[in-house]
Amino acid sequence: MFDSGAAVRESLSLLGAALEARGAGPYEIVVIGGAALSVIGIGIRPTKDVDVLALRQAPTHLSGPTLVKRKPLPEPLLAAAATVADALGLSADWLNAGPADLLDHGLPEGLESRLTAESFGPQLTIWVPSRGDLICFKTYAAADTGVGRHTEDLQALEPSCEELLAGAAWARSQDPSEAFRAMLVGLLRYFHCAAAAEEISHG
Amino acid sequence: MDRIALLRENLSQATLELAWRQWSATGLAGTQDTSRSLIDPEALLVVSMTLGRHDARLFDEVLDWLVKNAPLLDLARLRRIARRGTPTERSLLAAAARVVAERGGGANFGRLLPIDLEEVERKPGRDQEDLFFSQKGQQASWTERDPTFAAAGFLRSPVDLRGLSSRPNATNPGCLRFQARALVGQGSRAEVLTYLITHDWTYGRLIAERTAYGQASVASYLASLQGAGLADRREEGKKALYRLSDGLRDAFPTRPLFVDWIRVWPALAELLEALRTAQLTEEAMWIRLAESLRKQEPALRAEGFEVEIGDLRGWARQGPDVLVDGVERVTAKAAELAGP
Repeated sequence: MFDSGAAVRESLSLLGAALEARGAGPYEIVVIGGAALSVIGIGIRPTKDVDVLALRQAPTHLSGPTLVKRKPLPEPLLAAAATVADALGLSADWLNAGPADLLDHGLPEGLESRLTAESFGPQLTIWVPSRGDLICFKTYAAADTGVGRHTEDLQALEPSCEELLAGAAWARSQDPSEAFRAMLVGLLRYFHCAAAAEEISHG
Repeated sequence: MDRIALLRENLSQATLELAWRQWSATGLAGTQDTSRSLIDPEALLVVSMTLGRHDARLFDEVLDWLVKNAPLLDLARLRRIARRGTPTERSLLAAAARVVAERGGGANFGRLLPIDLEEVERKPGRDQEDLFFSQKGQQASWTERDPTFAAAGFLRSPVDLRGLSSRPNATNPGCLRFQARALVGQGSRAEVLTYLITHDWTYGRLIAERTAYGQASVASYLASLQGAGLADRREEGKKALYRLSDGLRDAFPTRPLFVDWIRVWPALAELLEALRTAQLTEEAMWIRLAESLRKQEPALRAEGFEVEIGDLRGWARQGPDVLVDGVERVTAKAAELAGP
């Protein structure tokens, strides 16, 4: 459990050092969830793990940066994470590819170009999606699970109704069921976005 | 000097001093010739292929010792212990065997050992590297290279031995193994006898484990000793315990401390390696050290060394003090075994 953004940063810093000590990497990983909020300084609650969305492959002269689904995560990365778990007394799965399935149905359009990077030593770069993209992910998670930690995270991101509507539209691409549409409508109303809720319910 | 450099310096000094003392006691030209612990020449030789990279003089004096004393080594045991060593140790051992053979020392050692280690030595596409850690890269380009070591992938100047090694000091209790070998010949019998001399009641499986010999040959010799009235036997649960008869034990009034060097030497060498200067951030160096301490923790608790590293889980929350403390305890124990 990470009780602060500093604790998340400490674990990522040690992860970078562990990769270096093992001669592994470099790795570029895209992080979402509570840990991502901590990294960009808007996390308000303890988070239990670091959710890895994808591995980022650097651009080449033929293509731009690409995000690759790796579930499970590469063995050298997991081995280094195990070292950090041991060094900090974290749970074994503190670094996991839990949200990697989001890539199956498509990420918010152009997400790759809006990522921001932070280096944790020469072997590890953490990429965090933009605030708008994080709102998309959080909208999906919050609608799915109801009021709780995800709605708290969403509130911390201070989304406008337009941003929540965009998030809801993307979340529909992940789950087009009628039941989920109803959940999204409920979420938008919870955030006092009646017009956006109306648009989703008839969209 | 930063904390890691200081740890490295102290551990290196204590470990090399320990190796020098043991080698000197076995006849290598050096200043000290005492060892309060039982010397394991095969384990010492294998680890010296790593330790010698930190101390070129030690490396070459070991080669010199081999030219004179290789026949005193138990080759079957050496092979088994070398297999537990690192690939680099096996490559260097093969090269050392060749050097010794070229100088007419230990025909069996020179002939048999490289055959076992050929696979490692002949690894294709291997880059050449400096043999000694103190060597500067460019040194190799302007000095002549030793062809035998170059063939094994290591750069060094030609081997020039002084020929000053002598036979093991028989009066030193640390050389008990050589006495046992003189008495019953090389092999499991000498190992069993040595173990019994340095212990009270003990059992076959433990002797086999500590001596790198098979349980069957150990059990057979224990039974022979008992049959001849040279060992006592009693049962404890499912275990048959043995000890030497009083008369035979009395023939060895000064008994050295038994240290499980087969496990301890590699642990010391790996800790030194973890502390060796590398192009790493300080944080990565501490991580490397923590991993090494954790991995070697059981070996550092081995009989005769008995250093407790403790539970390192969560060490990073308190900072590296617990790692520093662990290395300092290992260093202190190595210095204690080296003697004053």
